[in-house]
Amino acid sequence: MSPQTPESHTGIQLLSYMLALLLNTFPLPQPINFMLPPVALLLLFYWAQKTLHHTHFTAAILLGLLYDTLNQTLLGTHALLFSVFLFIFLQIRLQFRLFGPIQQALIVTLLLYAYQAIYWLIFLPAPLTHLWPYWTMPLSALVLWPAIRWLLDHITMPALNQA
Amino acid sequence: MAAFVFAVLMMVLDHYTHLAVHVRSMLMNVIQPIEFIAALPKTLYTAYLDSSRSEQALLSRYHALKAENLILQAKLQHLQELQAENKRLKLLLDATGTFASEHIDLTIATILRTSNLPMKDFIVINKGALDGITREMPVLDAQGVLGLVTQVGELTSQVTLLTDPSLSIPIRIERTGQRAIVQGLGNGHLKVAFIRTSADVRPGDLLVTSGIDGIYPPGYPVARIQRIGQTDQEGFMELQAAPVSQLYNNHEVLIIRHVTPNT
Repeated sequence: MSPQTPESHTGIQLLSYMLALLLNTFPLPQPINFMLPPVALLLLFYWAQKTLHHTHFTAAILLGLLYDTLNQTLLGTHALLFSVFLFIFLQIRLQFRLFGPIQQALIVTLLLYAYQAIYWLIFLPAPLTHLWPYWTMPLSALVLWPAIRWLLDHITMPALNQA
Repeated sequence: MAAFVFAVLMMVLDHYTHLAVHVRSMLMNVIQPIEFIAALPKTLYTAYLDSSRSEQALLSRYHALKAENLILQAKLQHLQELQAENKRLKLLLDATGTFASEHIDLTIATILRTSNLPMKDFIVINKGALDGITREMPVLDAQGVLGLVTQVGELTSQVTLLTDPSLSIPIRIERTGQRAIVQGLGNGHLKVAFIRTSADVRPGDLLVTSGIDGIYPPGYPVARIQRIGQTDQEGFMELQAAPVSQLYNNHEVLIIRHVTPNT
């Protein structure tokens, strides 16, 4: 089997983004549904550190607009948030690639905490009854990030894994 | 940089104009297949539960529904008599500003999913523009008003629940006729605005739609007064209310498609 070129990941990227939307659309009971992070943002981080020749801003904008439609938020809010956090991630992606899975998961968790804080400021939520799931949501990245990384690494590097 | 400018531009357009409504409808059509796939396990599970019920259980359910139908028919007859009497009395009084009795066209829809954000209260239903659903159609459940259709795709629609902070409903207190506005506070809570301290309000009072907005037909239960708080600086009471509808425990809802006054 010949090793896959970076271009051949486009199909997997599209499929992964669709699965992310599916995960965030899945009807889960409250308050568990509030603890699921925007999976598409985690995938944007993954693909940004995987394919260095792309910035992925187009994907961030499109996914952001779809998340705005999905969550009935002001059109462009998620697009802006995704773009801002992708921009921050692009600044650190080379160092990020050198870290182990646990260190990477911690960095993603910190980024998600910043995401939740900005989200809080933008939407100025009324007193939340589900406050703890809101602030524990970033911790789910500690489990999700290694799983995403392991799964997509195995899919995108079949030749390397067989060797 | 272009991405940031584009996102901010979209936010401005969506907030200040109606141009983004079409973009949102287009995006809703993109996510519709995903919503249907996501709802599939729940739909299959419900279908499995329905099919696995024994004949005996279905028979007892049939008899219970038949009895319930009889009771409702009897109540409806009484209601029709009252409506006719009400109309006759209003004609005698030559009342102005009153509401005509109405014929309502309802559509049943199934809930596909609920909001995954703690600060947004909305549901997605499996009826859209192809089923004749348009924006600003009121949505009910068996107990009362549930919300309003705010976004419509071809096959699905988003219904903002009455507890969402973006929604307000004109109401009147059923017992006194006092008019006010019910506003969403998020997280299943409501407040009642514009009621003076001198007004006669008690905990437990039923609030029904007043119909003056032309969106919600009059007389539908909305909420019950839960708590009477302090008076604010403008001399209005701070009232909290609890919705009568089962916000998060419904499987099916009713959409009011047309309201035509009976002649």
